[in-house]
Amino acid sequence: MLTQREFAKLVDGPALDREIDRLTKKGSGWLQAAQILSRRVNGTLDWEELGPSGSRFQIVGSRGEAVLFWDRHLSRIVKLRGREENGYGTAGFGCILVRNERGMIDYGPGTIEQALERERLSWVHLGFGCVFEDVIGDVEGLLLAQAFISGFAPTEQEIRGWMIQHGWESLEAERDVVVTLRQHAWRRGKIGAFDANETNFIKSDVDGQLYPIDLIVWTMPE
Amino acid sequence: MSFDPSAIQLPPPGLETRMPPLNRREMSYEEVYQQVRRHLKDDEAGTMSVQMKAQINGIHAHTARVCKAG
Repeated sequence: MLTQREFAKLVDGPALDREIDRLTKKGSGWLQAAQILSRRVNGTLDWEELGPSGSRFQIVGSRGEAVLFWDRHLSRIVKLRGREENGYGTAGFGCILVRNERGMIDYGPGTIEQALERERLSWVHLGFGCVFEDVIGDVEGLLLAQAFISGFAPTEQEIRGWMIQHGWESLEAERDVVVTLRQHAWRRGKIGAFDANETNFIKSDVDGQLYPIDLIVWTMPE
Repeated sequence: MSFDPSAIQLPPPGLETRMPPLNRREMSYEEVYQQVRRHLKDDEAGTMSVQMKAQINGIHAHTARVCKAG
């Protein structure tokens, strides 16, 4: 386990400040993105002083569920996930599949144990995922690490082809799934793979293959 | 809240994985940062990907809804 202070010292503070400043200057919805990024990092780390320029973890972005850092020591991406009250929203430590109040398949907030189970399922059913890196404080934050894949986003058509080639069946016409998720929802047996959109795949510029980097892989709710 | 990470093994032992190839060369922070920005459509024109919007909406990407808002 890393304490909040220990992890804070490993974060490149000036790089985070620059990123927050850059987003703030873009205005409009980006201002909110800047505020959320600040809450996600500083709130999770209880406003401990961050490390100097050139520290190990350097901010590269913030997305649906996680803040992404470049781990300059091991040349990989480290994902910081955390609690709802620290800007991580209702994803919790990572979305899972649940039945909502109308009985439809939807996203629900995952616990830290469920976030790790989701990664296990990703490895088992997609062959790739994140490794567990550490927990921050008293389960204030979860660190996952993933190989950085140099490349670019594939097209929707390429993603569809890849999913079908690997035996997944589209849930686009499945009325049991909430309508906003259907377009990127897939199933193989009892396992669902959701959020299969272009931001969650990388097409490697080395071998031209697609790699899913952040799909929601979970057992389909009964 | 307590959590015991000792039982975690990712990837699960003995599993046949599908690892990406090594990148052609060592990447710099700036290169990685720029790729992630492109991937999230965080460009100067100000468009925002579903992933960026999802964090603002406080929910995970409900793609069809947030795409229309862009």
